[in-house]
Amino acid sequence: MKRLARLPAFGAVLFAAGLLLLWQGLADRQFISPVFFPSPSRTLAELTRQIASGQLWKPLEATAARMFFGWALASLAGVVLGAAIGFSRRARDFLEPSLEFMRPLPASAVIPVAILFLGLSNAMTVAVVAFGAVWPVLLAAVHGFASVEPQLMEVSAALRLSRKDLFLKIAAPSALPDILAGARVSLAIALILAVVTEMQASQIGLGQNILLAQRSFRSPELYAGVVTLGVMGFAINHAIVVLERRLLRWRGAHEQ
Amino acid sequence: MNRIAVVLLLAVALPAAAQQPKANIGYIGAADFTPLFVAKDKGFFEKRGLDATLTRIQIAPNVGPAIISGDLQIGMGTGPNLLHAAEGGLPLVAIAGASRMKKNNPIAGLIGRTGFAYKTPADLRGKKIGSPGLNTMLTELCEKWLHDNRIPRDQVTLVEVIFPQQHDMLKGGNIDAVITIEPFRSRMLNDGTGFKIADYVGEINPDVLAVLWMARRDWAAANPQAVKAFREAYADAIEWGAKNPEESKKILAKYVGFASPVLPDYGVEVKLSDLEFFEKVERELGKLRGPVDVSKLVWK
Repeated sequence: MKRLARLPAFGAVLFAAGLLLLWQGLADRQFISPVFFPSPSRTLAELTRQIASGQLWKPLEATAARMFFGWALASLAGVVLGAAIGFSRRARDFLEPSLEFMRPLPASAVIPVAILFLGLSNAMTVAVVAFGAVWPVLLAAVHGFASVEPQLMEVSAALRLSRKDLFLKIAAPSALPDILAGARVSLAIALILAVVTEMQASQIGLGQNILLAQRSFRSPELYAGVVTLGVMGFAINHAIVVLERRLLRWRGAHEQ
Repeated sequence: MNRIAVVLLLAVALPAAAQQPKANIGYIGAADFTPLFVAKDKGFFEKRGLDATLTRIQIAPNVGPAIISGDLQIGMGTGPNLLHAAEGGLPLVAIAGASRMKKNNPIAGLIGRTGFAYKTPADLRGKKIGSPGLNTMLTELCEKWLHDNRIPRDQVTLVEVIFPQQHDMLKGGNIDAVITIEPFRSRMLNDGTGFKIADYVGEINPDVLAVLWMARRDWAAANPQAVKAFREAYADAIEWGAKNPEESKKILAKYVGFASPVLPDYGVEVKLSDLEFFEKVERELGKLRGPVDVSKLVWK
């Protein structure tokens, strides 16, 4: 038992179980009306019903696709722009003030503009998600590319590496830890924005399910949607951690 | 000393006895509530003995929760609202009607974008229809119309577009058709942005209860005077409005901020058959899952 208790996973499971018990307890004592606050058992029953009836998959797929494509677009744009800005002092001076202006714009404010340009389409939602999710990757990439070790730059000059080789063999691997850290934050933001866009621009997805459940006073459905989003967030975060470990294997060896 | 005590007691007791029951009444920006504004403006509420405060609510779905929490005593709602609330276990009842949709005075309808080659309902397959609110009364009735015209629900895309944005979204081609209501409907028809596809409400049922007034069951039980006063004042206002249509429209414009040349029909009665109609539609569309006792939803 003592060995089990030392495993970090055991502690995490214990804490989560504690939270669930607390939730069930509060729901049973009806501190808040069960109409608005369903118990974990009711939520799980609703979730099971949605899975069994096949109702869950289309919205889940839609939200996941929106999040993924928006994040991919944001990451690509972030790395490319980040490289351009990171390498060039002049680019930083010219672009940074404007980027700082655009960065805090809330996605909800950008949605009406996006609808005007792109209509009520998937392109619109991907664009909005990408706009909001680009910033962590961009800033991380700028930092990563701007702080390549000077010795590595000297080595590349000495070896007369082409710009392409400099980028692919020296700069990019050097900036990768920063970029991946930024990408992880971006992915979380992409999920949030995918849900917000669905709610505001009436697109099929988990966000819309949650909104409609709220309007029809169906709280188990609402909570089932929230739980699904939580599970999604947990799963994708875990996926990135695994990716990070694989891509940065060389760094571990190097630092040893 | 005794005389002073008596005077003080009377000073407190008399105003308390003369105090009218209070109600905070929630409405949204639509022409369905003209009698409400008239009743307030022309003093019918006061005359019938109700101290009424009118509160504008931004969007209709917020009214139900506001009544449950006690922020509002009376609020606007529709048949589907009430049925979903009952299914969810919320204690809301219909205390009066607000407006009706009659076949000979079409207020709502499906308008198609000029340029959309529409000949029969089947042409709506694969198209995008703007809805003022998913799972709301107007949209559900349109879904019923689609169902009756043998168009599967998953072959039509419904997207939410609020009334003020509908004209531009239709014109810009973002949507192919739109579920709309007066005055937006007339505007789109008159300036050539759209054409009439169907006045679908009348095709389903020639006399439908459009909007009703809801309250919490326990509040209605504890305040029979207020409920009676509300109903009487609203009926007074409907009668006055029928005799003074132009002034009614001015009062409406004052409260909602836009003018409506066409007014809906008004009616203060809520019949059991009104709600039974909606229950039938909802069950047919699969929107109601649990048991609902409709007879308990109409407050006597």
